[in-house]
Amino acid sequence: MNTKLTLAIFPLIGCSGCENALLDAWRVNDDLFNNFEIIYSPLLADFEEPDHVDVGIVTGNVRFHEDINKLLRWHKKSKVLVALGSCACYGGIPGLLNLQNIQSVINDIYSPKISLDNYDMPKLIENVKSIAEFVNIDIAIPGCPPPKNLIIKLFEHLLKGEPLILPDKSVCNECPLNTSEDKVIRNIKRFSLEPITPNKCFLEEGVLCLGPITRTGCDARCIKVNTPCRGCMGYLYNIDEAVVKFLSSVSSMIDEKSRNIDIDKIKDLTGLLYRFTLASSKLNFIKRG
Amino acid sequence: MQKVGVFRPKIIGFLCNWCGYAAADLAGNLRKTYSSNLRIVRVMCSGRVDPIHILYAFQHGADGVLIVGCHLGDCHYINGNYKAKMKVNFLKKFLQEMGINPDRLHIDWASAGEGNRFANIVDDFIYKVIKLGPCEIKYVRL
Ligand code: SF4
Ligand code: SF4
Ligand code: SF4
Ligand code: FES
Repeated sequence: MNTKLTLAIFPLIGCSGCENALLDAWRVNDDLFNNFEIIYSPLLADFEEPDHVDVGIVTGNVRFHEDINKLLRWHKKSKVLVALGSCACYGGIPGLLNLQNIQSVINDIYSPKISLDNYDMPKLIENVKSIAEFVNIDIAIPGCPPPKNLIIKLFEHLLKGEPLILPDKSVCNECPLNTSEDKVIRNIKRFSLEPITPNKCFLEEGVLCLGPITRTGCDARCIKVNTPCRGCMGYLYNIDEAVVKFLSSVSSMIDEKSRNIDIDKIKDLTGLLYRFTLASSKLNFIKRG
Repeated sequence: MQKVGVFRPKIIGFLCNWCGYAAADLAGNLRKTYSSNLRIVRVMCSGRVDPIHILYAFQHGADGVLIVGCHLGDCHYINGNYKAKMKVNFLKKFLQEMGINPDRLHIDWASAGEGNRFANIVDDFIYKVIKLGPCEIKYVRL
C-alpha cells in the first residue's frame, strides 16, 4: 500500500537552483522525506504529468503566455500549491528584465534581421510576473535558493501540520557583525572593490546591505560568509514601501560633513534595491526600453 | 479658461514651515506674481519629506516635485535639510533608472525673508518642467 504523499515539481522560468536546494535537503533527511514521493519533475526524469497530486511545488516565474495556462492547470491539479524560491514568490532575478522592453531583450540574443513571428516560438508576455498574480498560493517559501532549514520545515508542515511561520524579524537581528550605537555612513563603497573593516556592519562601512528591510529565516547566511545581504528572502513590508524606507534611512545615516559621499559609485540602484522583487513592484514607472 | 493644447504642468511643492512656506507667504504679501501651477503641501521640515511622498506624487500624475527648505545650516531642526538633500540625490538616481527625468525633482532653499527668491525658484522650476513636457508616466496603478 502506498501511503506516501505525492509531490510534483512544476518548473517555470527559473534556474533549477530551487530544485537543487530541495534535493539537497532531501539527501540528508531520509526519515522525513521517505514519506513523500516525487511523481513529476521534468528536471529529474521524463514522467507523465499527473492528474492529481497532493503537493504541487512551483519554481520560477511567469514569462510566456503558455506559462499562465500551465499554472492554472497545475493549480487545479494540486491539493496544496507551494511557491518555492524568490522567483516564484516575487519574480526573482529574471524580474529585472522588466527594466527592458521585450524587443531589446530579443535583439540582445537574435539578429534583428530575424523576425521571430515566422517561427513557432512561445510568446513572451509584456512583464515578468510572479505566480501570485495568477493563482492563489497556499504556502510561499522565499529565498534564492530557499534555505535548507525552511525546506525541511515546509515538509514537516506538510506531513505533520506543524506550524510554518516565517520570522517577523530582519536579517540585522541575526547578523553576527558588530554595530555601533549611532549608525553613520561616512563613505560609500562598492562591495569587493574597496577594503572594509572586518567584523563591522556593512552599512556602517558604506556598503549598501539590505539587511534592515529583509525578512530573515536564512540565519543571515550571506553575512556569515562575508557578503552583504541582497534581500532574497523578500522584505518585511510592502515591497515599494520597504525600498523607499531603506533609501530614506540610508540618506539619514549619511554624515553630512563627509566629503567622501559619492552616490554615483552605486552603479545600479534599482537593481540593488529590487534585485529579487522588481516583478512584484507596484510602481508604474518602471522603464520599458 | 484653460486653452486646449497648452501644457499646464501639475507641480507639487513641499515647503518647510519655517522657511519655504514663510517665503511663499511673503511672496504673496509682496504681491509677487508667480506661476499658479504649484500645489503647496506644508511640512514641518524639508527632512520630513519621505521618498514615498515624492514617488506617490509622481505616481498620481505630478509632472514635477519641488522641495523648498531653509538654507543649509539654517534648518530649525539642525540638519533636516541635509537629510532632505541626500534623499533627493538618491531619488534622482532612482527616478532616472526607472525612466523618469530626474530634473522633475528639485530641492532648493529660501529663507523666510526671501519672497522674491522663492518666486524665482518656482518660476524657473516650472519653466524647466514645461520644457520637459508631461511626465513619462502614463497611468496609475496602486
Ligand atoms: S529563486 Fe533563485 S535558485 Fe530558485 S529558481 Fe529563482 S534564481 Fe534559481
Ligand atoms: S545592515 Fe547588514 S551588516 Fe549591518 S547589521 Fe544589518 S545585516 Fe548586518
Ligand atoms: S542574507 Fe540576505 S541575501 Fe543572503 S540569504 Fe539571507 S536574505 Fe538572502
Ligand atoms: S525646518 Fe526648514 S528645512 Fe528643516
